[in-house]
Amino acid sequence: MNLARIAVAVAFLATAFAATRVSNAQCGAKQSTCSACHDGARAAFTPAAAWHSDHRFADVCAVCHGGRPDAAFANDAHVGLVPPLGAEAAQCRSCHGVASEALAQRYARNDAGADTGGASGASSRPSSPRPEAGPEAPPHASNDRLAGTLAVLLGALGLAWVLRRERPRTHLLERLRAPDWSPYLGGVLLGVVVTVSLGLFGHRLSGAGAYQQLSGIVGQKLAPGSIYWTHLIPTGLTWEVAIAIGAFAGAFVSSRLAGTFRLRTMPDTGWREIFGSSTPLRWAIAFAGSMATEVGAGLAGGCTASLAISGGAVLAPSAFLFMIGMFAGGIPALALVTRRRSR
Amino acid sequence: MSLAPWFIGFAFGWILQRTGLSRYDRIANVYRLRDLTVMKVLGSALVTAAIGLEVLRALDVGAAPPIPPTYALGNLLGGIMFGVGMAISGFCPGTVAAGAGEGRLDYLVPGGLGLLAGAVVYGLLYERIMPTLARAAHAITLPSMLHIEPWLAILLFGEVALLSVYGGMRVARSRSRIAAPARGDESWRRALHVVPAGCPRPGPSGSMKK
Repeated sequence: MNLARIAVAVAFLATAFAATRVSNAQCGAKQSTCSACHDGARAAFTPAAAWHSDHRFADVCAVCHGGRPDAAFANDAHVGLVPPLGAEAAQCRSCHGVASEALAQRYARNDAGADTGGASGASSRPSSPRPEAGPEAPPHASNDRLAGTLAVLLGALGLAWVLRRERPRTHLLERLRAPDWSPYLGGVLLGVVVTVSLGLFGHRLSGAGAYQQLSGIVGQKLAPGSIYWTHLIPTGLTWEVAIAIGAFAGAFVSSRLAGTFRLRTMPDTGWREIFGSSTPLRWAIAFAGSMATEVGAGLAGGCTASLAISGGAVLAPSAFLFMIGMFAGGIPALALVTRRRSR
Repeated sequence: MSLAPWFIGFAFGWILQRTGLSRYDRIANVYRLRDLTVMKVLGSALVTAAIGLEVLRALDVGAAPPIPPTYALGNLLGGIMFGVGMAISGFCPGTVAAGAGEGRLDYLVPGGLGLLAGAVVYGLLYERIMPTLARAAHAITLPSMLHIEPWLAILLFGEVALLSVYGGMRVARSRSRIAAPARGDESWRRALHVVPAGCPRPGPSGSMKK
């Protein structure tokens, strides 16, 4: 209805208007704003130090130094600074896994004669300059974000109100109890789940990662010297594996409650028309297809859950490239197969 | 380990099952541009999560979220391989777990084993491929790359997503050869309805002949 469109347009415009603000430190920075000030000219930074030169390839300042790498002003950005390498293992472990202890020793040995502060354990003073060395935050910096949040919330409420007027009045609980959910309902709820996982727990929603973190059981025996399983990927009941098991349980309970649980060895619909009724063929293709998805996910850095959704939620280009690849590969592949098998 | 991932996973599996993404035809038909449920779920989840993260940031709750690194060739090639596997077999790693919970043994056994086998293969190939492929990996986001405020980026992205879904729906309608719903204002209204279970679906037979 026209009213719905007007409400949506107003919500968008309000968001756009409220959201524009001058961003002082973002230009020239990559993901974090640390390097925007700490370029050596404006504030201390020692690129030659072993750990800085080793990690120059990635924007990981906050992993060791803490702080808030997305803040545009010094006093915002320096909230939560920790002495780097003060807790070597914990800070290194997020990337280096089980090799952290050995690697941290390398830096502990090196800093005996090395440069400025930030020497592990030697001081509790952070190596970044005092807050007043950077640009001061103008008084209205945080209000813009709040205004933007309010604008979106108002727009969303207005939209919900308008839609409620226009749509048939099916109670939300009824819709949640239905065995078939509207994809928008499911998508919004999934978005909330992803927000919780990413924003509150700092973990991407996982899919392929769970299987990578179980593969070590076999992989470490096949390739004992591989960096991959010894340093990069933990093995065992990790966060990602817990999500996969949780998903299994969630789907089980959901399908039992909806009455759609059924043990079956073949897909109900859509498969037979293309591939016929052979169960071994289905199982063979399922095996090969899932292998392909797992390897593809490894190459790309994630699967639909951990890359497309979790990456898309932060608007990372990797997510969109991945989705483009997904459809660029899947559409012709399936067209080829169906064309060959249709009479 | 905290209890959080179990609950997050539980909700994830529930949503996948209820939206039907653990079914073969739902996945396959998006690659035939007939049933756009996958795109709608992905798009809504993306926009909701993007807005949610910015709201959390505005309220100063939580920490900066992890950013999957961008290395164009790898993201694309991996995506292509992923899409081929997903289109033909009809599932992705997330929906394998959900489908297995729904009782689908073809997801649990060959799907699960295939995923594990694929992970082992990837691990064995890792040192040979990934250091080269991911050499230029950057953990970047579009708003910081393009120097625009994240809210604006989300706004623009939301509009692009809406347009793509709308465009895709038009394509889907013409390819499925069902009678098009009343044009104009009614299409969005129909799109938001819950489809009752058991509603007859157009079969694929005959639609591929062109």
